[in-house]
Amino acid sequence: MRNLVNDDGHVLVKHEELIKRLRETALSSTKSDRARAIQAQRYARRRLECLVDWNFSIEGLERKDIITWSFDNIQKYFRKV
Amino acid sequence: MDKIFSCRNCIHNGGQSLLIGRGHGYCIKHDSVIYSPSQTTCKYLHRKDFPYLVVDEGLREHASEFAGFSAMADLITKKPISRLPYSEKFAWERRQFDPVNHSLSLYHKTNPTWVFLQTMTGGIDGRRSLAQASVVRRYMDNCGTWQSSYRFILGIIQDLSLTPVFYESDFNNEDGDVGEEGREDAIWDLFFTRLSGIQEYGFHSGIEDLLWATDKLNGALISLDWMELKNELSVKTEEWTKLIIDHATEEGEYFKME
Repeated sequence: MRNLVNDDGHVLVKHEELIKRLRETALSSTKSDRARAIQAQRYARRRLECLVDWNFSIEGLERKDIITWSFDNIQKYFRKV
Repeated sequence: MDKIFSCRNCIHNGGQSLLIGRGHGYCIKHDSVIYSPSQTTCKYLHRKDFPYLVVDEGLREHASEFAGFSAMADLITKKPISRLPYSEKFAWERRQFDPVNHSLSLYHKTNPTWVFLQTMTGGIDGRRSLAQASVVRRYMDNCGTWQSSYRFILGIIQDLSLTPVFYESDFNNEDGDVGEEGREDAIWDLFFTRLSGIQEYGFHSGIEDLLWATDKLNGALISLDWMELKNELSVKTEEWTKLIIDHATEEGEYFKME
């Protein structure tokens, strides 16, 4: 799955890197981003989260349709265990 | 992640959070038992873990996603969920009586509702404190002003640095035991519910230091170290109390005689 993500041009952000970035955001971003990053850091730690920086072209897609579109298009990168 | 948008993380279901509260929930908004709180939601979701203004965009999207339902709906299947009125008799018969949910179900039987809030206390009982902070936030949001809430928020601030106590039966066990980490993390579910309420008060009152209270804890929050934060909070308790009283006094609202 990891290779498929990379081959399709998306970027996997590992857990440690994600925590580091969230910590940086919590220290130095805008007020609301700082507030969000503190809580996101907590959730990410609890669930050992990683992140995928998706590189899709969503030009022409209406904002309200993005969630459904994303759901359909990222399925192939996940496997239920 | 979707549980974040479930009734578990909503102020209208005060007795539960992502880690706290077992079994069924109770929604004050819909005056209904929530049979599966982690899989139920509605367009009125108001997140416990953040002040509204910080996550308003996501909440608007969520509201739009569930706008077609008149009340509660299944978060995953997107099917409507019927309202289930609370029955104390039924709860006893099924041996599912929950004192916190029971207390919240009395909300609609109290008139005026601020009397209900006046009789609630937080203190060191973690689950009851979660319910109190949630109901205060709900009340403040409904009123859309700080005037009727400053005394409730003062009460929440006094409890902010207390280390809450949770009983084993308080932890959400729907995915199995929460583990030691989960037991410790439950403190943060309560803390952020309270802090978000203080920030929402900052929004209504226009007190910038409260609105961005997350920035006023000198970084103690970033490391999520409770003991470090607790020390910082013991200083902030007095500072924030004074801010609220001074502001209410200046505005002529502090224990104003009707």
